[in-house]
Amino acid sequence: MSQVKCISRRRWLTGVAKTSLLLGATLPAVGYVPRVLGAEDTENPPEQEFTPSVYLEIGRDNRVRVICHRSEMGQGIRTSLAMVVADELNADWSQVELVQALGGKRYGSQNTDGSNSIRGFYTALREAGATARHMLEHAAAQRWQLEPDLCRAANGAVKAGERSLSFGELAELAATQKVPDKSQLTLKTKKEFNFIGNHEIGNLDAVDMLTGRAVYGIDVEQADLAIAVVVRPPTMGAKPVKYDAKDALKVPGVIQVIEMPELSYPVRFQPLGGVAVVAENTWAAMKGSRQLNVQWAASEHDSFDSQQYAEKLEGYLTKEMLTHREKGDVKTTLEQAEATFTRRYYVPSLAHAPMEPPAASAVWHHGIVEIWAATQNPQAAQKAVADQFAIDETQVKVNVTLLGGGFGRKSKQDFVVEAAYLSKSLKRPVKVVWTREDDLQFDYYHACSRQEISCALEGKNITAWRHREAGPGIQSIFKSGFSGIQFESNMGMRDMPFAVDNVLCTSGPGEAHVRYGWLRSVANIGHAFAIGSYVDELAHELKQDPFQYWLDLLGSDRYIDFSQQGTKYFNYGENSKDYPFDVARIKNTLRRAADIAGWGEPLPAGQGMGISVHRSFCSNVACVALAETSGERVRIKKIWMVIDAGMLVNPDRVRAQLEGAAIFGVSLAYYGEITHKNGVAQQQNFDGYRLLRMNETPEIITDIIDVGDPLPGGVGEPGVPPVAPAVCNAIFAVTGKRCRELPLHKQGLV
Amino acid sequence: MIKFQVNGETHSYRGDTSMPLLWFLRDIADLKGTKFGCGKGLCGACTVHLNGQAVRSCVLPVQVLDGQSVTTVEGLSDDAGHSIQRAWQTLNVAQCGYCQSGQMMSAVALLQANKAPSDEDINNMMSGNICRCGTYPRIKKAIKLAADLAIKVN
Repeated sequence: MSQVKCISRRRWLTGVAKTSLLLGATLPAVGYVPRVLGAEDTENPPEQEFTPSVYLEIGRDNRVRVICHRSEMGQGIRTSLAMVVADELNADWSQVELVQALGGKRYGSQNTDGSNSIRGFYTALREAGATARHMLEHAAAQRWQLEPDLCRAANGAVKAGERSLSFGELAELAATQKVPDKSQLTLKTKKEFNFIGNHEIGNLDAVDMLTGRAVYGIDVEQADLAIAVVVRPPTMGAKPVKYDAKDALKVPGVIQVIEMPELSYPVRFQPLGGVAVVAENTWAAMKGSRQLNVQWAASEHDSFDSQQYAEKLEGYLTKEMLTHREKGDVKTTLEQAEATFTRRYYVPSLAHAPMEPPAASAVWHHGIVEIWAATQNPQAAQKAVADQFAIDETQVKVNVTLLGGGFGRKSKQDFVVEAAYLSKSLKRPVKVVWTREDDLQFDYYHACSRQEISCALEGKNITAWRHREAGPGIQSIFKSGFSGIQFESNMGMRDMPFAVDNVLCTSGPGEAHVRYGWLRSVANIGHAFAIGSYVDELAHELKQDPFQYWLDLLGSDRYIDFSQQGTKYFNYGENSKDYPFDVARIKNTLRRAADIAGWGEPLPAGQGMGISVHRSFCSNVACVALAETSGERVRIKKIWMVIDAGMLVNPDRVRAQLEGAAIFGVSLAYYGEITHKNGVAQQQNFDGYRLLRMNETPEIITDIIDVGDPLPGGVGEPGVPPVAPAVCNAIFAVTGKRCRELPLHKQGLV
Repeated sequence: MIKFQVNGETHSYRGDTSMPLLWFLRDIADLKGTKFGCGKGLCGACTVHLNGQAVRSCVLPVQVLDGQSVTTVEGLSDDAGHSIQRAWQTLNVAQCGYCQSGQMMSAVALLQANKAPSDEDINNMMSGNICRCGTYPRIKKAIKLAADLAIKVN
């Protein structure tokens, strides 16, 4: 069954009785779920169903429908969220179905980023399941005239002695039960879990994915659907002066040529502008787009040259615009130190390059625009479309398809707005398809970053730590003329965990000439690369073992309160009580990685190891890389990844994320770089923007630490940051060559 | 008019013959399991079989297909029962799943030619297929498992 068809038949919009309950502190406390847009649901009057939460409904058909409000992009979240709900419900796994939620505020945040789906909703979803279980048990008690304590839900039925009623048989009566307070709920203990923590659950979408039936954004079909390909300005802000619409219209199948709205600043999630070719099929649209021969007016970004820009950032390091952390007196300590050690690092701009390029479909009917999109954030899509057309967000209905990868790209809604604009212009359903060239040239790039770290040393002790950074930041897409980084320093810079008395973290300018955005792990990539490389360099300088030196620098086991360390640290939105910055756990993760990799044991000639560790998204990941020389070049032969992410819901997917993070990290270390000349991206396709392939992929060993923390940390992103420094440290260990500027391929090292 | 077989069914086509097979499959035949990734034969997401050989359908114009036979992922099975699909499911290979049709079609072609491929054989065949999620280690294991499953079936 295709996901989109499934959504269009949904009855849950109307099937909500007075018993509906919203759970979770971040959710608005309304007593009912309002009817949402569109008239199609009235044709399908609801069965009486039990809807104890916006995340769950139980039908008379005995199906347990888990409403997934987060976007599935490969992290396995649809299955994982269902595991949480179904476990507390004591459902039978075979009765569980998924329904993908529309965009809507009642779910709380649907912004699927920040490694936050499990971390942010674990408790709310458990409570949703437990609430339903409580009400089912009370319904059975009423039916049997028994005390509720004697009625117990298990495997999809409520039982008391010999008596048993399925959830489906109880659904109607359960819907009339009093909704319990949270204080009346009994959440299961870890030992009682059936699905949470289970390695063998599999993937509820597997059969659809493996038979080609799964519906991604690019696969959406609608009656009378036209396909659009947009020729966008090669330089940001350039406007089309002239183009050959006639030639494009001569291509068989081309319906219309439509000029896109002009881009205004700040760019936010607006379309970039340009000229669209709309056709009866994708090939005709692509072919037509090549006939347009658009001439572009000059843009203020025409002279942007990323090579010159990277050099300019060197000078910006000392233009200290923002102070992110300041403790003690770094300036004097550095001036008076017996020794200092300074190194500079550079990570270039990177592209997300999900295998499915951005794709969205839209249709307008009766003042409502309905969207089907591979979006990580349907609520942001609602807002972006509403803003563009000056309509209310409730007039924008967003269906979320599966995403063929996201990595942050599909958090940006420009492609969704394009579809809405073109459908409105053409008065017909339109699907916008991005080519790979579009994807790489018009990305919201991971911002390049120049960094410098200096230390004052007394023996092998660091007495002052100064971290400077220069480069553009993500705020530039939301504020015109914004220069430099801002909140990015929360991701690995201001939360530098070493026990140092004097610390100063600053950033300089960095003008934006292209769109920047968040990419898997965000600024942790650059910060972990700089710090992870620097620690290794310093260890070698001081003739210390890098692993031991990491442990020395991390210092005593302690919780770090950054408010006492000269900074305000956002801790990924979590409080420090539930998610403390626990140095012991960082060290423990590092030790495990060293242990399983056999750190310190003799290696054959031509091999060397590198190590790194990083805390991000409230989880700790350590990485050890084994490098091996092969002629002039070197390659990474093996990687060990260890995660401490607290409580794990879906351990197999955690391992999968670590495997993927290792490959994502090696990929960016080897090849990742987007460059611009004359304002134009120089990488057009996978020949120019290389990604790791199977023959280059190292063996990957994953390991999970469980310290018994009852709360889950992030999983999707924390794996990436320590990989590139571990890789470069391993390459140094075997070649003596230090790579301070990624990618390695450019340095001739791989 | 061009006539060719897709998954055993005959298709006749009178339109633009420069259209790559990929877009014929997706837009004309409504077989959307075959995916678009690059349009240049660089990523393998669009891999299908042409007379049993793995080809990149995004760079194969339909004009060369007259009388030929094409198999897509939809042709493997309706229920994920093909040995390659079973192996993929057993090892939970897919993350986002988008590239996996192409990965499986490459893998099936490999196993048809080589019943017990070595790591190097697998690398050689599969390195034309990119997976951004990073499922290569599981793909490699799954190909070996599928080889075992196929042997057991036969």
